[in-house]
Amino acid sequence: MKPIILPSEVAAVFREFRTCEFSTIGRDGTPIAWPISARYLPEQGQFLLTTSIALSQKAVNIRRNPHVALLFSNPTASGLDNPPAVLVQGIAAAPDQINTSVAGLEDYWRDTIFRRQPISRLYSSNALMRYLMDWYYLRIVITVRPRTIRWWPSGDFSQEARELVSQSADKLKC
Amino acid sequence: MWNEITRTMAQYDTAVLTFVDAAGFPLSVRCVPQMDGTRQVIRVKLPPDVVAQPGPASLMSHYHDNQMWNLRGYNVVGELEKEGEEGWVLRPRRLLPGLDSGGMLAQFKMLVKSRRVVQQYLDKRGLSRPKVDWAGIKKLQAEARKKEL
Repeated sequence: MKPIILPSEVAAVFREFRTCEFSTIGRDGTPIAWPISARYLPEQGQFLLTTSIALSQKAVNIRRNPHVALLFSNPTASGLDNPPAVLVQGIAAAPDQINTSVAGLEDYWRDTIFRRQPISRLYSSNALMRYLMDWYYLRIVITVRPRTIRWWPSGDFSQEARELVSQSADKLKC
Repeated sequence: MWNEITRTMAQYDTAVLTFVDAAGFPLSVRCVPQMDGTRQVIRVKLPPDVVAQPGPASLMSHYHDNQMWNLRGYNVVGELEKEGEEGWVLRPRRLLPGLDSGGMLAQFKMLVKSRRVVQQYLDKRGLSRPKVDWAGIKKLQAEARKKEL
């Protein structure tokens, strides 16, 4: 299957934005977005996110209804000049397992979290902090396989978006 | 509730509106909400090619600094309603506070709440408290620091 090539400005947003607005659908059908850090995995054509079990509602929502969206519209700290805003709609999975190991998630923890949020390093800095903050590292892993990507050049929502549609077997490459 | 929503939203220039599209996916767009105090609804403008439908929806804003700290935000949950030919309004039902990392008191409250929620999560599933891979975490934190130098 021929891979879909992402425009470079869209790939840059996935790579450099610190957060996205991640929406799941609640039991009553209400979609709610919360900010979260997401890591794009181009070789796998999917996004990787995690959430502490202290904030597990989004994972519960995904298991009930896997339709999700990620909006990349806050360029703070990205270093990008006039980036597009990008909306990803896709299908998520959130296996009901508590992940406490960094194995398999090294790039996510090192580059997406610890480099970008230096203060989070305090959580492991001494025995007291490790006791108080262990909950932060009790994680549910969420993956999102994109179905549709739309982007608004320069983040201008008064204009029409450009769009890519991904079939389930295609990979999005950049 | 309306006054609290107005006060909270006034701290942000824009908000992200999310509704469910015809294919059943959440669809989010950033907009400049307009508060209508008389009708107690929030006016939102959609991009020209986005097709919305009435139903449950939410508006959120969030802030973080360049170090991904000083986190704050909110969510307003309600109903998206058509107004006239082209307009849309969100009729709010509830205001949900977001994470607030600003100030010692806010952080202490977040810590206490998070520990309680986690214990409830584990108790509900009959699980003992898992051990965190601190050695692995500290190794990656050291690598992260080196990359900055």
